[in-house]
Amino acid sequence: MTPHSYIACRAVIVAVFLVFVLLIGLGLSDRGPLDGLSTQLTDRLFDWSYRHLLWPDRS
Amino acid sequence: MTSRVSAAGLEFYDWMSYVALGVLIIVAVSLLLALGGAGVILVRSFVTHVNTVTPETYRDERRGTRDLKPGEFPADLAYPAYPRRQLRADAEAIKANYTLVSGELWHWPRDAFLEGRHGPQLLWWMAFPIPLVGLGMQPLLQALLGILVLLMLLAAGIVRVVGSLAFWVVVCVLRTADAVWARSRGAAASCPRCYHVSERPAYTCPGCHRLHRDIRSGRLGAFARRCRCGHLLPATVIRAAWALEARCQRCEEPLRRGAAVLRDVRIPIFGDPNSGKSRFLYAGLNSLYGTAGRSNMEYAFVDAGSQAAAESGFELIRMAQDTVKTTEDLPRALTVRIGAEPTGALVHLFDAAGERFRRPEAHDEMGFLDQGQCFVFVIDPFSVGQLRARLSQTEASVLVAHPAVGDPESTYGEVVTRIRSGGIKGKHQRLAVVVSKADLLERSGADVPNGSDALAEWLYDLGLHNIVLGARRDFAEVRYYAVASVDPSTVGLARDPGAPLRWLLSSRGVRLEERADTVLATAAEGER
Repeated sequence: MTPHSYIACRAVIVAVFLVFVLLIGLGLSDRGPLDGLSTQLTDRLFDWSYRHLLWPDRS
Repeated sequence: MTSRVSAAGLEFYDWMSYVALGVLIIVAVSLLLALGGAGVILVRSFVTHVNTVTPETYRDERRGTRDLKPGEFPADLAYPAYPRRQLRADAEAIKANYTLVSGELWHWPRDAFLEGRHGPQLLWWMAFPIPLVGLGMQPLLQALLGILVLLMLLAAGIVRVVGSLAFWVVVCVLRTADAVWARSRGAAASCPRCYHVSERPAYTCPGCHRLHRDIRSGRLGAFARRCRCGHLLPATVIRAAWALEARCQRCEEPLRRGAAVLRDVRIPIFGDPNSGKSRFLYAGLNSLYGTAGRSNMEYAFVDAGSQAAAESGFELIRMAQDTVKTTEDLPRALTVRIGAEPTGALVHLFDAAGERFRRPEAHDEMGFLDQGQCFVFVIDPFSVGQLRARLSQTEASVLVAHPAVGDPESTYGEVVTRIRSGGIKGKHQRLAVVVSKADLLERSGADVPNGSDALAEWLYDLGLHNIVLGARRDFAEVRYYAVASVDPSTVGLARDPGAPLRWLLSSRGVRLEERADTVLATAAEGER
């Protein structure tokens, strides 16, 4: 019988992990502490695509 | 011209919107699959395929780190605290399961579409007509899964750092509490059989009866530990002393309840055969029993052996009968708890047959002399040559006294030499020199002085000057008592057999002061 503290500690790890996922998810939808994350990412992605994929000659 | 460009632009934007939609679908599906994969990794790592570090594995790992010193024991068989070892195993499991799931995400579509290992191959092509898109989203899926696993490891790392910090703070506080308590109380775990004294005893698991040698808060648990058998044990000596059975670290004999938490006082009694050691022991304890009762202090014999011995001894003292000759076996400590748990004291009294003190070869077995903090040396005045010569006219009273056999000076010398040859310094040890049978001596017409200094001078004049001079040098403090080993209600305070024990106990922090007015008031109440 493994200690109950193991289960509790694993639950804490999962909880912290889910908080990270939630924060990133909220950030991607421009909410929460990471507000602006999606704008940053999409801007950079489109900028990169524009420069390197669509019109490399105009970059 | 303008309208033609606009139409081309519109077509371009229509085309781009389809591409964007496709990309969005791929991202969404990849994200869902990555989240599902992360869930699988967590479930496999924490629920279904847990890699638990067993107590045996942990002990072997610990054993490999350094060699054991003499007297040390391997780590106890209990599950390690989560931040100390299991968290590392869980992080390794996450990485291993990530490799497994990631590989499966690569291999599964290939096996389904190309190898036909997951059902009819054609069905998969009909259900997902664009497998290339599926294969194409693999990099994104793998990247997202990798990010999620990194987040998992980051979460585990945070728990490890914060958890370890909190864990060690708790361990330090609890260990300090254990150590401060033991130091301030003068607590120790002393064995009544082999006389070994350790800072803390071993404790028996109630589930599997396995011994836990070091129950303190530590790598196996801060507040509690889980034994190999699954039983939960408290992880501090202060708590374990009341919840578990304590055993000697050396011979594994059960120790007294409260060992290593209650104040521990060890008093060896030595003297010649027939000098009245056992009688003094029971009469002294009987007197302490009365003192404790008047002071409303708890007074209890904590084991069956001590209880039975004390009951029979008390009865003999109260009935004014002779005590039985002590056997020549090695003595077991007679232990009494004075005061309530957890602030009372365990007082261990060792009474060996006088013959043992006269045989130098038997000294090695008497480890209780090495562990003694206070000593009682019993002198039978009827065995002192000069006094016997004076009392020769009253031979009958000498015979009633059953004079001791032997020379007190040689017994004292042999015992003290044995104690000091073991490297034990006497600077913290007290000695009570007890002149026994004072009532018989007075009855025979001898004048027995009162007071420690007067008694010392009296013994000096009787030819025991080597004892008087040597005791001052050998011990931190010496006092002399003339006692009548009878029920204290029949003799005055001056001959009270409890007085030497009370003085010795007071040096170890056990206050049992007998006040003359209290005794007189109690006696007056009895008379009314």
